[in-house]
Amino acid sequence: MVGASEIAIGLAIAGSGVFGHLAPGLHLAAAAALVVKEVALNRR
Amino acid sequence: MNVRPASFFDYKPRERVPFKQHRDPMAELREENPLSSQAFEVAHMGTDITLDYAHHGVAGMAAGGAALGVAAVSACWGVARLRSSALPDKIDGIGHLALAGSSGMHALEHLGGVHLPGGPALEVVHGLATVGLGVSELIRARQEGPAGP
Repeated sequence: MVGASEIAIGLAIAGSGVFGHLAPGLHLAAAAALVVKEVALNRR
Repeated sequence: MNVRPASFFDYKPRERVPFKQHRDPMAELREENPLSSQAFEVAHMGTDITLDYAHHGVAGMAAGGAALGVAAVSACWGVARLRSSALPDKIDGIGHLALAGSSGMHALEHLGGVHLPGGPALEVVHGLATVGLGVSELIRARQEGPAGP
């Protein structure tokens, strides 16, 4: 789960660089994936 | 026992060891606090989102200042990570340096109105480095089996 959410964060950040007009939504998606990652890390 | 607080560059890079493996307590003292990386990631994400919505006025200046702080911390972190011999740490270091560059450009844009090219490319590098870390985490979890983290 940690690895998958990290991949999601990376794709969202890279996507915000490629598609600048979608950056606000992609940053929110990255933040959501970060929440998932932190929850998974704290459940270890 | 005399334990002195370590400086930022004294921190041992994060080791990717099996979760249940016995670890030396002194080695744990020398490692970075996981809360620091979590706090930095939350600060980075919060700054990115704020920069998307705050362009002018006090909020824009505050977002620019926060981006400057993220850039400085990320640059230090990236240099420290690049000193490690482990490949995932080197990838993490490259990603942090790219984040430092893109955050610095955002800060210049919000604080001084200076537009520099290359910011989106640095964001792509940072994103791809994060994807690489996620893949290495998945591989490590698979090697350790269902009992691992």
